[in-house]
Amino acid sequence: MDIEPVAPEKADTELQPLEQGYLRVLRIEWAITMAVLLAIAAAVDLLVLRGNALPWGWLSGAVLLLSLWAVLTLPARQFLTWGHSEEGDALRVVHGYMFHTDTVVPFVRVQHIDVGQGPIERLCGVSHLVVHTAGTHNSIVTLPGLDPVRATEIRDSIRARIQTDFA
Amino acid sequence: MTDSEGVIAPVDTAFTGQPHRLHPLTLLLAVVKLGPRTLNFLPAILALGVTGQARLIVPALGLFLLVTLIFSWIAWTRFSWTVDSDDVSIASGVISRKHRTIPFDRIQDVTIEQGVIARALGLAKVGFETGSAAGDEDEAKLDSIALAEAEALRAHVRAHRAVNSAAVLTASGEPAPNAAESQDRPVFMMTMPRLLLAGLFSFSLAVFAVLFGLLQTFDDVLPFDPFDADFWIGITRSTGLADWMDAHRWLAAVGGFVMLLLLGGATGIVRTVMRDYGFRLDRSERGFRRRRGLATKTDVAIPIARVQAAIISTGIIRRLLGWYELRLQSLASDGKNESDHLVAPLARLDELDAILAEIGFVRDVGTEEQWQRGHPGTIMVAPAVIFLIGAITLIPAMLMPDATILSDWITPGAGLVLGLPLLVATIAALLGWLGWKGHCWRFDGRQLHIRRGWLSPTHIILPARNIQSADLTLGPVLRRLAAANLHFGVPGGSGGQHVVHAAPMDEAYRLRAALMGAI
Repeated sequence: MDIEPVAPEKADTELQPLEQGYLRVLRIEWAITMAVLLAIAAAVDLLVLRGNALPWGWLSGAVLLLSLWAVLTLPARQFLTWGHSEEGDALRVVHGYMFHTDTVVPFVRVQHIDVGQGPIERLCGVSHLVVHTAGTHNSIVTLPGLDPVRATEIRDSIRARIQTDFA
Repeated sequence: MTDSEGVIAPVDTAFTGQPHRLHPLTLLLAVVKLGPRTLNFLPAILALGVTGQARLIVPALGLFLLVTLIFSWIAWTRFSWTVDSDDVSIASGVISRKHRTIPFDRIQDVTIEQGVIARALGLAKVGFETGSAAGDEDEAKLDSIALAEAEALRAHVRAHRAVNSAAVLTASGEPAPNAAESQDRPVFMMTMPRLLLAGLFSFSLAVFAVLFGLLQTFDDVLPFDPFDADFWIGITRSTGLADWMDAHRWLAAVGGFVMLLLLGGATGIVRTVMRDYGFRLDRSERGFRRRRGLATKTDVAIPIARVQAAIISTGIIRRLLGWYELRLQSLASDGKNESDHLVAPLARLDELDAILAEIGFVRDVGTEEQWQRGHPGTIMVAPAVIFLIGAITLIPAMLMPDATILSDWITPGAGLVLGLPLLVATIAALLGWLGWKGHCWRFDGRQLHIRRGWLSPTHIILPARNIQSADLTLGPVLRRLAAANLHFGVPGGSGGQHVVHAAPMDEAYRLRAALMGAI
């Protein structure tokens, strides 16, 4: 049994970043979200805030500025918080800054594995990997932004290490 | 796996490595399933009829049918399943693609399901049951393939499992279970006095809620209104009770209190006796067998292999008197309301140790230094937030000269305005300190022990091998403190209770590495 202390900084350097394509995925997703918000704001401006004392269209303007800021800055920040690695016999997935999560799933605990690709992901040339465990807490661990070939490689390497474990 | 392939060779050769499609008749099934859904089109049909365009009804329905068929067909062409030497993989999705891999080793069973129409067409829906926690929706399904194919597939998977489990048995060198050993042996029983004591501890004032509810529902059952104070005053006056009560006020108060205690105790006893009468825990060949109940008798088997964690809990008074209860978290849940199996409602620690020893759990408390504690900074988080919010909301209220609600019940003065939040914050700090003091953990190389709570202290024993995943999480506050929470995914139970709170960062990483190493 290995009880070597793992300092967080030391552990972080071993993490691999996601594919650049995932940055584009995040940008597109944020753009879609903000476009919806913008549409709502425009509708409110047109229908509700007509006789308002403030200059007409201020809400749409504010949301537009917010959208530009969000789409230009947030995806990059979000992207940088993601990381993953195969540590020994476990998959490690790290993400989030403000609310940071660092998950480790031992390969022998994986029940089944999905490799998937949505339309936006296909556009940007990335895939995601989902591992399912039997635990009631966090039973589905998703690792996005992988190169499709790499995703199947990880899938196969996990697959190879799932051994019969008749509990 | 060559052995298992040999068993069902004729069908099996068709399995290995080749992608298969679902049965083409599945398309027909899709159309049939549509039947009930066409009801949604009634308004449209009605509209066509009313507007005098009745001749369009048949073409419209035909178009709808055609579109459905085309979509089903596209989905059908994009769905394929492959059986390899030791796993099943399923590729699906038209726009979002998904490739799922299910190792045979993880398939608990293969279900074959046939509806009426499927039976007529010789089709079957195949489901793969894995231990995955996400529930039925997430299980992999083949909907539908030919029945013969489904049965061959099930035989194939089962043959693989049979070969492997035989190998596991011989490898571990366990002797075959002896018939003479299959006698049940009692491990724990609840005697009547102890049952009554357990009832007292589950003191409950729920009876008042029930009575209150009944009175609300059946307003007119009583010939008087029990919530009318005048009615009671009238009665006491007329009987002379009022004078007596006036004279012995404290006695009346004590009487009321005693009454409350008696009722609460009686409720607890009745409930406990109904549930735990004749409580008996036996060690059977494969695990525990629990029998209990007065009106509804239950007999539950708890296989050892399915036990994931042990949870020892008590109350603040019970702990002083040395009484504890023991639950086992199992893959199966204990009835609808409880997720963990109660195996000892009220027991001494040595009795619990005896039960735990049967399943290889050790409640070794170790020395005080072996227990780790959370970051003490967390004690002050809630108080600080409360104080800040209180001060921020109260200061403007005080500064407003005219509309002060506060001035009615607080004499003016900044001291009190700050004093009130300070008082609440102090109480919060005290509670926080008790919570911090009650929470500690320790990994003994095989089992993780987590203790929590001060009002109802709990001790969880979690063998490292039952941990499915480990999450290290931190928010803005814990980041400042350089601490993190560790959540463990464990099968069965209600979930969310296997948590180590606010461990110092280094300790969190070290503990996780140690636990992962032990798996």
